[in-house]
Amino acid sequence: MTAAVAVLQEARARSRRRVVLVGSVLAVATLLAFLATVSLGEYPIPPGDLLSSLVGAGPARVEFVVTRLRLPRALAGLAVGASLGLAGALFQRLLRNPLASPDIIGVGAGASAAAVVALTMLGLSGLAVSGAAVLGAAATATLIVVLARRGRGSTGLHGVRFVLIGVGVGSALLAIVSWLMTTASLTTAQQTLLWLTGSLNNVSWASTTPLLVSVAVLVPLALVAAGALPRLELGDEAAAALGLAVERSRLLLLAVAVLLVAAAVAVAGPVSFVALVSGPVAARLAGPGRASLPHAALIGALLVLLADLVARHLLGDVPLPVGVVTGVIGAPYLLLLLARSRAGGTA
Amino acid sequence: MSLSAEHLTLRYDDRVVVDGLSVRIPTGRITAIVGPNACGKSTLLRGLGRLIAPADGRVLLDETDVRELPARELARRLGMLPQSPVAPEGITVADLVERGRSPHQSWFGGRTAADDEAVGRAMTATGVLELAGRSVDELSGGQRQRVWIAMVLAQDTPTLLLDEPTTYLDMAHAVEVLDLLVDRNTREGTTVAVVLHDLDLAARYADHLIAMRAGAVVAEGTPAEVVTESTVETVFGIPARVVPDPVSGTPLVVPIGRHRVAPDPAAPEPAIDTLIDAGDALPADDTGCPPDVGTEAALRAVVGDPHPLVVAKVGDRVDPTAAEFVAAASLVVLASGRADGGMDVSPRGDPAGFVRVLDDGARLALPERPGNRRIDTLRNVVERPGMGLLFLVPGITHVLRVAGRGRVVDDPAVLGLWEDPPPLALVVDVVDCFVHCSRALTHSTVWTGATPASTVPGVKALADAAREAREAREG
Repeated sequence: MTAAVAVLQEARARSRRRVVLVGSVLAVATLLAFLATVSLGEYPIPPGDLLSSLVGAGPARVEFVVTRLRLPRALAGLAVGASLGLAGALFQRLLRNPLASPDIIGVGAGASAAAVVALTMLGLSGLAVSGAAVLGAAATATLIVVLARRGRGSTGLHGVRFVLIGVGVGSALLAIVSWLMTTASLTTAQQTLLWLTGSLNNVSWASTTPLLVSVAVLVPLALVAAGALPRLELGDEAAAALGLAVERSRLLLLAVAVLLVAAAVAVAGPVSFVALVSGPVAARLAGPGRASLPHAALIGALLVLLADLVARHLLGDVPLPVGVVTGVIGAPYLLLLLARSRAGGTA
Repeated sequence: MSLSAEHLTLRYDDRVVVDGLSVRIPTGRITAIVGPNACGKSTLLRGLGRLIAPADGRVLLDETDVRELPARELARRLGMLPQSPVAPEGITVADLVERGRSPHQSWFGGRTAADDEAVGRAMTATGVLELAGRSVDELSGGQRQRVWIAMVLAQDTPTLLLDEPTTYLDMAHAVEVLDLLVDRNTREGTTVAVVLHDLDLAARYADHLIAMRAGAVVAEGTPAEVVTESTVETVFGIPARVVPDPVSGTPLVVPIGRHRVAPDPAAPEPAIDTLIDAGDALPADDTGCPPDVGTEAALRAVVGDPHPLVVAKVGDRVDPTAAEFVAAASLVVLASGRADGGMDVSPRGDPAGFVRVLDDGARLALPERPGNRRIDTLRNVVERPGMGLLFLVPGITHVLRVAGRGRVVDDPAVLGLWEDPPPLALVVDVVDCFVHCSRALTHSTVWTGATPASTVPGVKALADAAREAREAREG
């Protein structure tokens, strides 16, 4: 029997080494991207000044640029990316479908629609728009859950049915967005479009602070709730047979994931594809299982920070919205995913 | 550990699948639940495993209603493998088996040495230890099923429920999986309840069998008590023979379908054409009709049209294949019409071959020997020629029916057809000739166990011959 235990421990140690190694590499890369975001720009800051100003001991000018202008943006990028990456991975694992990321199934569209209503019809701005986005995301997710559960039994909460309903609801909401855009004034429309593409250009401490607070609460909560995932993934019946309260765990996970998306979208708009790609890439790098959730968050953060760097510096002085860059990366990935899932016969 | 259901009713939405069922799973034994598709056997198992909440009644584990037990505690006492669990993409064998330990672990996965021991034991028992680091996606169906069983064994429960664990497995793997369950049962005294679709394996591996049909228990007991020819027919709706399994001595079921049944004297029951049966119910149901079935339209509302094959079976003469059947018949039931509108039915019996087929099958001749009240039939025939004849061969459950017009003759040329000439004979001009596959004879079981008196053409042969003969004449 000890031989069997040794085999198990060996297998476990191997996967743990991989999880830790990949995690460390991702963490270092994310940190570098974060520092690069803070130091690069119109006014480049050398590494020495950067570190001292971060701890509040640098030259006043440098400190202003770092703490007033760049730090909120870098922190927002970090938090938005981590939230979207983690939420996407949670959705995909929960619904057992790589296409089931919040930007595909309409949760993001719900946030957008509510934000656009707030911007164009109610003339709101700033935190009010963020609040509307959070409400929109939550309302949309509730609607999808209710519709998906109206099928036979309570088994409608996973798989293709949920995704299809989500895509349908998302399309309807995007139609509303388009209609509002055509009726809005040119300035409002332009502003709204920027928000819709996903952008960190107008981020300040005022919007970053609530985001950081939500992330600080939601990420640990998500990782705890994810304790149900190893069982949930085996199917509802197997999970229940293993003593899990299936519906409750799933609703909790969905709620946390939706709030994560809402928090991110409220600040940066629906930055596309981050939620879709992070989870599968993390699983590929770190191995499948619950262990790869922090990796998904790191990949999301890295992706948004790098995309924002590219967006800011690619076209010289004209800053692009970060969503344009993530879209350029994400669209081919989505096509690849669809092509592969067709070839494999599974979706 | 004892597991039982009391007046259990289970339903999906409005559809009641299991209705007021009470059953006890014997402790420390292997129980197999069998039955046709959609009989509610998987639903019963899910109900026992608390995967479906009862609409009525209750499930008791050690005399405690399972609804009163915390989910985690229940999962430590009752293991359940559903029919199609999902392996997450890319998961390794060791990771999957370890998930069986989660009812014993805290939310944060505090793994103990006992967990490792249980997982190691389960993987060794199921022979999947050497696959520990492999991805479940890469495994064959048989290996994958063993991994799932390892997972539920690692759960280390004194009671195990498994829903069709041998589905999609080939013979060798199915036997292997069931052997594993017996290992567990004998070594640890684990109570096992398993839904199986293979009745033969169920009879071989189970100590106790529960046979279900339409949401109710039809029979319960040892395999020898439950697996009988009549129970198999009741439960699965197909006639079968039950013979001893040459390997285990347990009952082995050999179903009898419509085709591929050898006309071999060793197989006493010939093919039963169930499709034709359905259309054939009309004459038999005549007497049971409510009084308002007074028109053909009303009748049609209840009795379906005959199957096309049935229509094709009608011949306008006794063709050579049918003549073979006539030659084997030793008993003829003769019906004739009375002047007062009633009918007389009387038997005619002699050693096989007593009926002569004349004029290329257009006529039949029957000897008329003295007997009780024979005058009734003969008077009827003299007064009105219409009559019906039913030819029976002992041990054969299909029969030949001939309708025709008869007359009574004393022509010496006709009487000379028999070595021992009768005083009179009946000559029947055949109007039509039809083979019944005779649900009546199968269900009356009057021939069950009887050895057929002789080899006769089967239902299909008779029907084909009649159709070919007719097509030859028409074409």
